[in-house]
Amino acid sequence: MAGQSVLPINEGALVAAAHELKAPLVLIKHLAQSLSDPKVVSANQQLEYLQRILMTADRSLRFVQHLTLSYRFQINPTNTPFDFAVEPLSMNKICADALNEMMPYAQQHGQQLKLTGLHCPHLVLANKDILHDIVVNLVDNAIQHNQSGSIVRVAAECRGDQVRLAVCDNGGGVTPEELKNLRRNIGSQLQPLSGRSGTSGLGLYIVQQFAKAMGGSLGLGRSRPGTIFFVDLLRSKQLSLLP
Amino acid sequence: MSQTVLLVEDDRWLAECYLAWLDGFGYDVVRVQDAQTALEVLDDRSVNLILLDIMLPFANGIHFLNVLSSHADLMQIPVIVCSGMSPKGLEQQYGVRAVLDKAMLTPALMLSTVSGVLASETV
Repeated sequence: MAGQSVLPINEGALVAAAHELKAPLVLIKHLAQSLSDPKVVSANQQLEYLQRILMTADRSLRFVQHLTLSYRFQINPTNTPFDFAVEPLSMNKICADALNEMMPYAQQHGQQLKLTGLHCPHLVLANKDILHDIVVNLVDNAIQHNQSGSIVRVAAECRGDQVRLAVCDNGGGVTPEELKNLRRNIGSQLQPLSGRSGTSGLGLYIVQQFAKAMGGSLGLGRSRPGTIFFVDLLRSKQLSLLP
Repeated sequence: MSQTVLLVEDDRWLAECYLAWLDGFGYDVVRVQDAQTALEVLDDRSVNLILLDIMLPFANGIHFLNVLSSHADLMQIPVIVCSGMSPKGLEQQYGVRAVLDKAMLTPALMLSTVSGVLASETV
């Protein structure tokens, strides 16, 4: 279009994005096909299938939005055209809001979301929307790979000049070799994990771009039998007046 | 007596769809999320057909096909691959009976493929 620059596209990222978008589209199609046949989906299952279609569509739209934003961060690391506001925020509140938003999706997957260990009276310096998106992305990632009937745990803790957000699942973990590679390269390249099928690593790449844009970083560790992903962000010197 | 399909699919909601379709066609379905559990099922009981995803956690579908190929009894079980990746050459390399692209899959296509493969096995 006239007056708009064309963004360079990395082929690997394009293929990964296409793959990540294809899976939810296939799911929407098959849920709709099931719904259209009364012999397959009974009347009392119809609402559940409709909710799954809506949730999957929302998830895809959120992914596209996050992908676009992270790509802009990537090609313009100074963020000058975006100029997003960074302010002191309560990590506890952001986590609670994000978990409320994700609760119906978790319940449809037979899982629970729990805030644990929120022992951080300090505020975090972040953009409210981007931090919310980080929590949602990490929780979504955990739900996808968690065992049915289990719990995704979200915690915030103060660590020196930083506040750590940690999201822990008990799904397919990472091998020691993968952990070593991931710690070296996390967020800098797409890395599918053997224990976590159907992903290209793009979601984590997005989280890393978001964290980096706010001066933070993404890390991970093993949490037998699952995985713990964490984001470290700068702590505000201002203390929270809220619990 | 109805025939048993072993469904190896890690996406829960997708697996529920396929299970409902196959159940509606009159098949018994055993659903597992990963290749290792699928092999445990095959140790315990006989199945008439395996419907296999490729992108699976830990050992993927190709690894599973390699294991099947190395066991004389297991390699007799017909396998239909159902994947979003459209892998090529599985028929020739592993004797896979059919490859279904998830993006193009419909309940009718699944029925015709599953029933066609099972019918050809009994001839």
